Amino acid sequence: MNRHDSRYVEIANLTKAYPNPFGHDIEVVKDFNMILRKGEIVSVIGHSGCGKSTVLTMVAGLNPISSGSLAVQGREVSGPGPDRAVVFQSPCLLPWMSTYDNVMLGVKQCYPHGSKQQRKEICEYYLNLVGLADSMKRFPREMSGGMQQRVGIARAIALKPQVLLLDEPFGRLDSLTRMDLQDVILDILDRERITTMVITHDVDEAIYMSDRICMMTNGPEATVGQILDVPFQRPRLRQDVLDDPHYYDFRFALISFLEKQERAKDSHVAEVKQRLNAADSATDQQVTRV
Amino acid sequence: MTTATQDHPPSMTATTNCLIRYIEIWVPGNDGSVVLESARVVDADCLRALTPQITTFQLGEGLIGSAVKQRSPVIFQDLPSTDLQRVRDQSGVPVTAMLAFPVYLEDRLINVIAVGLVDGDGAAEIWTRDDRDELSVSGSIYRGLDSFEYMSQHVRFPKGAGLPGYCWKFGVPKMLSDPGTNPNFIRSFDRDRAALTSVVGLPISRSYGYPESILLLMSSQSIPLANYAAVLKVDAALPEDDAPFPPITVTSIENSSQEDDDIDWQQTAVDQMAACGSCCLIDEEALCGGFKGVVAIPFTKKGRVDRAVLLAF
Repeated sequence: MNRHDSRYVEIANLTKAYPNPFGHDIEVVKDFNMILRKGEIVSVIGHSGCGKSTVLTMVAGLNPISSGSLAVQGREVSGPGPDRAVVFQSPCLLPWMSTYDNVMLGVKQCYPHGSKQQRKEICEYYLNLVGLADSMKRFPREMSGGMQQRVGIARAIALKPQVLLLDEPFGRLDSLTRMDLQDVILDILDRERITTMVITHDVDEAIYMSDRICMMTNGPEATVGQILDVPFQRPRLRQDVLDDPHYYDFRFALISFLEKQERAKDSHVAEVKQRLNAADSATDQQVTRV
Repeated sequence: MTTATQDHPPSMTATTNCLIRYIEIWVPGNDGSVVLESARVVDADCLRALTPQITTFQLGEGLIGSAVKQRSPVIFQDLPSTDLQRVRDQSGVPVTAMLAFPVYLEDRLINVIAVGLVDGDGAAEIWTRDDRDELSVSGSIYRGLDSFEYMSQHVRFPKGAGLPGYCWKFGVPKMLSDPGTNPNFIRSFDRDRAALTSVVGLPISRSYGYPESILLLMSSQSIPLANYAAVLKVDAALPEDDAPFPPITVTSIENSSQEDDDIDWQQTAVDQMAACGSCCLIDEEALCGGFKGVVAIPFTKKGRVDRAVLLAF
């Protein structure tokens, strides 16, 4: 593995801040550090509102960073690009287009020099991979939520991205569909070796899908609490993972981390508020003197 | 859980009550070797012959020489190592593990501290940076913490995360009490027999912000690592070469294993450390708060002596 592959996505001191009414920056995410290797699947887990999706949208280039650095294959990320595809919780398909046309829309943008036949083959290949070979002409309104999400996944992967970003992609699905889609994505990722970041609330999903799990502390000033290396070999079978004697050690570690964060939430928020209030008071005093 | 082996006097278990039973302080010699400066056994009754037969280790030799060569703590456990045997023979203490770690003042090695641990619930971990700039466990000893031990092998901390990441980011030692509920201690040990009560993190560093490794020492409910542990905030200019420190004032006790701990004998211990210009082992009970001995370890930050750690037994 060369240097670029071993540090395929490099996130260093990533910080996102929004100004408060006093003009002070409130850092919702602070000093987030992580390195992803090529082909690795990393889940980011944490409480609602802690800043997981903020991190993902910054990696996607959809949300400008306040400070820190972000590089994919050694190149600084300065905005969105086809090298980073995103699948959101809602598939966001264009309702007036068929399944095939929804996928083709991105393919046309990414392969402008490809022949019509080549683009058609790409679309059909990825729709086939997600199990929609028979539904290419159907419209979103004619499909279930799970099927629509499959289209969203095919649309993202058809771009052949270097990095796939999944923002709670199964959050709106029932558990059976969710498990089915997890296997669909894992199968594709095992074939294509796409470096992937998954935002999730589900500890079982994180353990089953990931090579690593990044646990985020509560915001404001959310950051990496710890990272767990998941030792289960890929490709994985769900039953093998569940039968592993250490599966519940991992599950317990994740749940107890989240519980500890929940217990500490009030004191953490109070501490940050106290610091901000002190800064605000100092600003007031300066203004008075002026 | 303290278990005394049958070939040791029963009085030992009655009078000793912490994992640390033996401490040595070694100093660098002129030829790259390391020379024994002082040693102390917790229970003097068990002292058989504290005139060490080996007083010098070459670079890379044995536990002490390895710690110097690797610039990192080294742990020997459950091994018929000559180092363990040496301590057993000299002190009569049933040590089951030995830990040695180098202490630097900026880039200058001033001491190697060797600690003999008896069997009992608790843990010591060495965290070092890997190729992703994350800290992972590179050496360890665990007792009564099976699940914690397994999970810790898979845990990584980036800079600033968890206690090891804190010590790395800020370059200072830190002690956490009640790690079960303390949000700054991220890992869980709830599934284990042993319950941890406090954790001390010591950065082993030759330059500020770039630690060679982080040493974590963990006490359990059944037996503490040391009878007293504290991180003191101090302030003094760093002397040149091996000159004594200028007078050092303890400004506050940052963390302590005792509640409502006030500065008292700790200042005396730090005065002794300042006079030595390095780590020092004090074994006059009058000077160390009634404990049988205390080791004082200086830590530097940005060219000043910034913290001192006291471990009393």
